[in-house]
Amino acid sequence: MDMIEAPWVETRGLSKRYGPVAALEDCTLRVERGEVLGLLGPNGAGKTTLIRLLLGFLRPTSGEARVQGLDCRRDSLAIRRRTAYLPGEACVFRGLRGADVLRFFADVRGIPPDPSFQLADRLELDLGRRVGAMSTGMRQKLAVALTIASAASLMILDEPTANLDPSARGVVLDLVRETRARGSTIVFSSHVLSEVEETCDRVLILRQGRVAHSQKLSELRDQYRITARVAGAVLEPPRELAERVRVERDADGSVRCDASGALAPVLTWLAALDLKDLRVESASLRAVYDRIHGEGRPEFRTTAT
Amino acid sequence: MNGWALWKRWVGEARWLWLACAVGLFAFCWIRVWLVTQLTTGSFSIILEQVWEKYEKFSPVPLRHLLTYHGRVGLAFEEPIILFGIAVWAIARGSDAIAGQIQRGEMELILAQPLSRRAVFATQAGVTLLGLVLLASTVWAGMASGIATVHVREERLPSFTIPGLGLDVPVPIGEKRIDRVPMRERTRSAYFMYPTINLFCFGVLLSGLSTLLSACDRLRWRTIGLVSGFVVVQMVLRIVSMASESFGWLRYATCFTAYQPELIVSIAVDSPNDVWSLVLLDGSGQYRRLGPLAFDLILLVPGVGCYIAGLVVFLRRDLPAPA
Repeated sequence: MDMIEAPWVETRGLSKRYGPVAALEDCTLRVERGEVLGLLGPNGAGKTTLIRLLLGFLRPTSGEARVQGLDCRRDSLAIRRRTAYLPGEACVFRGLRGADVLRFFADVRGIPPDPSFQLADRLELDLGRRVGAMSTGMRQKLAVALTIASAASLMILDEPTANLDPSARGVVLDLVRETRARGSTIVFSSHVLSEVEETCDRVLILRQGRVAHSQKLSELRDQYRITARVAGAVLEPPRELAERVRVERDADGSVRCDASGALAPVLTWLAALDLKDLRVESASLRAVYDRIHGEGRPEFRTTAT
Repeated sequence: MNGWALWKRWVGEARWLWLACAVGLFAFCWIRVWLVTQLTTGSFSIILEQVWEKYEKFSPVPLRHLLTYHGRVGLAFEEPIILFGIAVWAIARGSDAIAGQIQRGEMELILAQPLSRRAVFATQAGVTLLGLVLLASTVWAGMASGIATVHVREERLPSFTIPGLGLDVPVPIGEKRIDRVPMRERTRSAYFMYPTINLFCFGVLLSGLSTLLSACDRLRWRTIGLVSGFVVVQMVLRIVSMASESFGWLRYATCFTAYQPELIVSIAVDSPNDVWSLVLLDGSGQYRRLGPLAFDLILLVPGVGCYIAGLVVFLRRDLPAPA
């Protein structure tokens, strides 16, 4: 495989089953070099399973996963030389002081510890304290510092802002953006939609172990939602709008239009209806997420027979 | 990648446990040798001869060996405290190697670094085995320092020296004299190196088994429970196999059959050329019994086998999320 042309991360039909339960099912994705991919989904959607498969922690039941053209299981060590991973629950040696933890991980990677000390300083972390005496948030800051200081070309961050106070969250998001600016590719798993919106180029929404939705956030920013109450009948949108307008009608007579592109033709079409009121808002990741994970969505968790 | 960092980390983690075991074992061994001096061999023989009829089947060596200072000092290897000290190190370290790290969530971050599973396993096993070598050496050092520093009391009949011949002739009447003789004149610490090797091999078996179970599991306490249960059952099997002729076959089902420090001491004293023998032969060249090396290998080979099996399991298994 040509290493230059290969996507930074690629999975094809990747599945992981535990007995009858499918933790990840037929996952196909690509992450291009320098891209920040947001992974979204509720607990158990398969985000962490996907990450653990990429790191070679788990053996796939079927399918394949590659990082920079390397097979995630066979070439796991080579991949981890180029990858930094921040686990969802950062557990580090409780008997060590923060500074010793950073020195240890720098030693393991064969890099100087100074960058991680600087990051810890930026996160206002007291490195003289033993990890066992640190709060959950402080341990998270420590893990963030040692992960980002590695300057790896691929960063996999599993809920990097969990347990952090608002100002530390801001610093971490800044660090993610700076890391991206240095050219790293980032897989950013989170439950906080606004953070994903702020930092990611593309979002992948997982649902019950499957990829339910993938979208570039730049496209999302071009979208908007119109909610209107219509007194009379609702006409179908004209043919020229049909491809970029999706209409949903509620029982109470309200109409929701999710649309993209120029707003004026859509408003012209709506003006022809007997409108009682109208609200236009930019589309948010929340709306997309709710559409996929909101109530009434059909179940598609698969189980092996 | 710097594997040396892992060595330093594991040594740092294990150092207090090792130190506690080492201090305990050294002190116990020294005291155990000192205790031997508190009871003269004559008094000891009076006690032992009274119970020998019942005790004989539990002893791998004849009475005459137990009534020597080699035999009495060598009995220390049968003391539960020594086995306990070694077992604590072996089980604690073995169980922590994989399952402990997974349970605490540390394995996740360690294996996210450019460290192979093989390196993690090998450094953990290396520190455990190195600690075991040093602990076994500490047992020997405790005994050797005891032998070097304590004096035994020996009762002597009064005697007179025949002028011109220089011969001491004991006089059976009169008050006995108590002499203080350095223990090193009655036994040699070198004899106890061989049972120390046997003790080390016993530790390898336990640590290997613990590491194997640890490599299969994600909960450390379960590994500790299983191996502790194994040790207790093996001890019970050993006792039952020795206590009853009809259950003698059980000796083939317990690893304690290969833990024979007292027998090895007697071989080191009586036939030093046989200390590295697989089998002992009688005067006509016929098989008499297994030799010290065979006992060591019976413990060592399964122990090393468990380590290898543990490595294979760890290389192949999924790394579960922290428990």
